[in-house]
Amino acid sequence: MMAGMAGTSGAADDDAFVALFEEHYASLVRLARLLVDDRGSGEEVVQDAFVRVYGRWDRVEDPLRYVRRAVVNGARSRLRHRAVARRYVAPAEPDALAADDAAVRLAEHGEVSVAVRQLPRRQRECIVLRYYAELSEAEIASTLGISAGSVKSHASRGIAALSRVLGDEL
Amino acid sequence: MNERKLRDALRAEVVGVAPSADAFARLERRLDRPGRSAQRRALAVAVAVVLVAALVAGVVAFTRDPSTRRSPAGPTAGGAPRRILTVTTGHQPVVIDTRTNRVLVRYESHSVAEGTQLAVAPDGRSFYFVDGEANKGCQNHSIVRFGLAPHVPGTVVADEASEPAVSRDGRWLAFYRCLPGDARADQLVVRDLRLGGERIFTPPTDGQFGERLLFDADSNHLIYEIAGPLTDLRRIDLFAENPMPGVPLGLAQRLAGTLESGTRYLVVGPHVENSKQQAGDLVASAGPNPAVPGQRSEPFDGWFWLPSDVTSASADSTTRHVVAVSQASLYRWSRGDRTPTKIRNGVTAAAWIPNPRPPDHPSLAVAQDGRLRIYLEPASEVVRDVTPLPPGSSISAVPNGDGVVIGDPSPGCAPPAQIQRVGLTDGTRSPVALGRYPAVSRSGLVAYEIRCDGVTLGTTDLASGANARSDPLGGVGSEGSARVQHVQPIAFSPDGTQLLYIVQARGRGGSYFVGRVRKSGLIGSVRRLPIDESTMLTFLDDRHLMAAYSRFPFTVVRRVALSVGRRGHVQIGATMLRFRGAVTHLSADPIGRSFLAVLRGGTIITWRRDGRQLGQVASRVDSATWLPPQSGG
Repeated sequence: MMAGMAGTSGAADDDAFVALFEEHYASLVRLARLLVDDRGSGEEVVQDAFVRVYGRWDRVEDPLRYVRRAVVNGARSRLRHRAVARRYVAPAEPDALAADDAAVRLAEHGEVSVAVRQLPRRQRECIVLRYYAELSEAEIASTLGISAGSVKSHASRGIAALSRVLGDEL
Repeated sequence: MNERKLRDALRAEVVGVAPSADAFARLERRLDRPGRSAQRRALAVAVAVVLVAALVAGVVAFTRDPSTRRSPAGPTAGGAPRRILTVTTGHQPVVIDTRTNRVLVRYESHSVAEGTQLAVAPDGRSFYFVDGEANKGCQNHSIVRFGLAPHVPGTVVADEASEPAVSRDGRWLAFYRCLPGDARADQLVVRDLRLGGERIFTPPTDGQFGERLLFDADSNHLIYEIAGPLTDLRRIDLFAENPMPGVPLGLAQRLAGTLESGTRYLVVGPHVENSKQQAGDLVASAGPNPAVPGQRSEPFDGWFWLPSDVTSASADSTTRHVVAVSQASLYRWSRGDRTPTKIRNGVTAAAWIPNPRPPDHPSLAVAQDGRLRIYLEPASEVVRDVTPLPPGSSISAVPNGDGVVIGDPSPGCAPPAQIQRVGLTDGTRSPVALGRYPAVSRSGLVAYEIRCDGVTLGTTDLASGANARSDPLGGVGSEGSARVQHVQPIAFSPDGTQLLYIVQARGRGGSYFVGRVRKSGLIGSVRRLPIDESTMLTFLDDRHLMAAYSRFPFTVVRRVALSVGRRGHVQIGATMLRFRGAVTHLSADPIGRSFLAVLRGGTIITWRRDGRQLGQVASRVDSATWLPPQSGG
């Protein structure tokens, strides 16, 4: 595979990389989609992450953790880029949508995920990794490079904010 | 916040997100990996297997027994409407997507009076509900209509009113109305949504109006509840001379909706035990024939059971799909299902919203309240709010229906008024010419008044951009006569070869003229029509005009031949239409089949060539134009 590994483990590492891809690529794309709010950008972030882990395969202890962290960092980077770019673009007048267009747009952005998207970055990452990726607090802490206590605190604040916005009913 | 709900919502958000089919190939290219065709093939096979497995899983998930599925991803039975209107336990109207069970729209500023009924227009473009606190009859309650188009505020259609019901043909709105200070329903009102006007019925002598109010499936009969010594349902024929008190409807169960006119109804049978001996309500189909001596009543057809008690049940127009609310939970059921599927909690009432139909009538572009809006005629419903417009703007549709040409009414020349083309889908504007009062021909020639460089008649070809100037009084040369003070193009003939316009000239007042449209865009062979300027004119066809003139308090519409008789008089035909109000603007569609008049005060009246009046579409209108059918909604 992969020129960087050719002289070391060769086919065995190829298989491991392929296995990592087959097992986790789709779920990472979905994770990235939740973080960047755009399927195309999400898949690009995951592709970048796989390229990076491939380049460091022989130095990475836990490839999945590395890829996941790369995905979160990549998503963060994309959002930051988007925010900066947006500051230099004149705001467009909202499109006048037909009823069905609006319905489709709203359907794509359910109320919960819209509310999640409005959370501060750290809270959002903690919520998505906790409740979508089903990671433990320790795993989230490792992925985000923060302490387990911070994870707990961000997740708790995120849940409180969502409860305020969404309530317990609809 | 429920953690499980959050988890489910996040998963539901990305359930349809799958990697692109060439994901690994793209990755491989970026890895700069030497070709390993065998492994690539294996990978391709593996990816294909994963995709096929995902597809199979999706199909299995879609087709498995719906009764085993639960919120948030309920079943999507074939042909079921895509939206459900619900009322939450917080009294808010909320629209839910039936494919994802997610909230599409929440009408936060309104509170639905508890226990009152919802009514959805049969075209799926608007709905009615009762705004107010608690169910206190109709006192302090208003009926509000919301269009489902964006940027359109709700409108109060009746005060001191409750229990709206809309007929299946969309023509009638019925509701109960109280007299001020009285919580009881004193009147049963049936409003004609197309032509305006109301029929008002008082309660029969043997009781008071109750709560239920439903149109039968044929739209010609209305079922009301009489609350006397015995609560009873009565069915009245709206076209009968004396409809009240109507015929008793022999239903022993609680009426929830109509399925087939006069023969089948959606009912709720209370206190029915299921197979586990649990007491609940049975949602069923029933006929109206009661038991008579020596004969049993018609058996009802039980559809599904729910825990007590069912507060709301509604079938769609196919009668195959039902939504019901029991114990603040929303359920849906389709024929063939063993049991209903629970969709979500926190709901007190629900009704299907029919999928919007493509417009089967022409649409109108309307300059109203400083906005350019598209109305679906004759449903009187805004289907698109396009863009702001200067007050008093005039508009005319372009031939392919994807836009209109608008004219700023400003008379000044610094800067001069501009004529612009506006796209109906995105509101984009492009300049056409400097002038006022645009009228567009079927071939895309725009005629207008040039004001700031000598008052004259201008034309611009939308396709080529070629301009021409013509003397509106028919003089030779391109410069307008110095006597001309004002030119207003009215309309082109359907074949585009003639232009009708008004000229005000010094010393002559206003007169109608018709000119021939030449290929160059110049207007020639001009002749003055012996018709007073106070009469509104437009083309009926290539050889006739339609004239609307005032006979206070009415306006009379008649056909007028373009050819002038031997004595110089126009030949006036029979009266086509007569209606109340004074006309300020008259317009025909491009093929001369549908017509409209804007009345003083801004109401639009529409009618067909055969004189059949269609409706009153909107109010506070400055100008309006017909659009080809493909551009509506």
